[in-house]
Amino acid sequence: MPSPGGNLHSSTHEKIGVGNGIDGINRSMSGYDTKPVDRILGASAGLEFRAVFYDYFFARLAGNFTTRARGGSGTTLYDNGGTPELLDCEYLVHIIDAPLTAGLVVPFWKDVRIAFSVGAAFAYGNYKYYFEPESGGRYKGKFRGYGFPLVLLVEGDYFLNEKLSITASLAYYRGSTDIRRDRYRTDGDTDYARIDFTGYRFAMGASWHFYSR
Amino acid sequence: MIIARNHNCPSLFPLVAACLAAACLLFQTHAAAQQYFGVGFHVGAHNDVGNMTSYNSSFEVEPQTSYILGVSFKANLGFLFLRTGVDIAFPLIEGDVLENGDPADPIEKYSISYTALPLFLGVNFPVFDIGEFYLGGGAAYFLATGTVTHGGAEDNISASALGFGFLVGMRLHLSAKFGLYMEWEYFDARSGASMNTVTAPQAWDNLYIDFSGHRILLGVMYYAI
Repeated sequence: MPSPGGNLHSSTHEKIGVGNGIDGINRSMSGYDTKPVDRILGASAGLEFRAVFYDYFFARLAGNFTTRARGGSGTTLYDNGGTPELLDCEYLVHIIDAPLTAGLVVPFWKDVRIAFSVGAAFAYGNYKYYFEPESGGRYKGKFRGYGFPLVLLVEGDYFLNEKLSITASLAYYRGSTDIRRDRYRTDGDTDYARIDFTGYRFAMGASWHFYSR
Repeated sequence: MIIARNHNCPSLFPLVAACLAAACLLFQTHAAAQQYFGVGFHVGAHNDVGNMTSYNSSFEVEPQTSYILGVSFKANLGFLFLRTGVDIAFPLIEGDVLENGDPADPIEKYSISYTALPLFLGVNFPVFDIGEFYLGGGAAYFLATGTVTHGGAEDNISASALGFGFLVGMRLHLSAKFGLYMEWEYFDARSGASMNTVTAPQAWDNLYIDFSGHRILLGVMYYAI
């Protein structure tokens, strides 16, 4: 899943002159040893249960866990009273979601089945960031929250035999938490952010079809 | 069912590929997908190259639209496919910042050309004998050059980025050797800071190129094998 959590913007980003979160965090300048902060790529694992009724009607309940696999750390610059200063940045995101969708399934002979479904998910996000200026000190933020994003899903099954299929799915989530307050209350910095669940999720896996009649 | 979405584990990739290839050989399918190697030529489009409104929410933008010319290589092995190629995107309509509410970042126009080198792995779903539907995930490397006009001066920009996304495609058999295909690609990719456009508080490089977006491709594939 690319960019889990969205652009991860918070009010502390505004204090360091960044208007669009992780997207705009990068600055570089001759004489400063910066390293780009890439957008986060999330890796997920999950389980799903599906039911097909009357050959063409489909319902699906899944549970997924997503965490950072790549990106989200580096060194940028910020303006410290008129002087550029290096700033180490670290972003961490974890998301647990449980989408429930229903829709139609189209079988093509016995070996392929393609399903389209819509629904909603319960999604719970945990987002943290740490900014450490070269001169010392630390900005940090921790946000938790849940939302109920809309889910659109297309999923294909390729049956290897009557019981086992290889699946590929593409889901689009749309929704976020409300604005959450920083849970680090003792660092003297009160921050606000939302965790955005919007985005595409591609998955491949295998399904075992254990009950049919 | 266990789902894995890790697009970025080089050490795991050979193991996963080997397991899936072994599964292809071990399990007898009801009707195996066609196995072939195809070369395709396609045209396409990408709207809002650069995503300038997400770069700076103070901008009102006439987005850049690019047309894409590309070649694709697709190899099928049972239910799996591997798809790579080269796409070159040229500006059809150049980007124009119609209204700029940020006086510290006086970008006026931009024009970006890029080359994308995508690689997807996914699953084929044959649709009777008519064609196939396919769905895959993967990565692409982007190389861009272009010009950005800011504060009355035009500067050259170049940038590169690695992005991740997915591919959804349909292929229709035209004959034994040729097929028509249509693909929807989405990538999330953004370069590092590549050019200075801000005048305050510092003259650092701040502008990045955002390659994220949807691409629609239409082409003809020749089945070489």
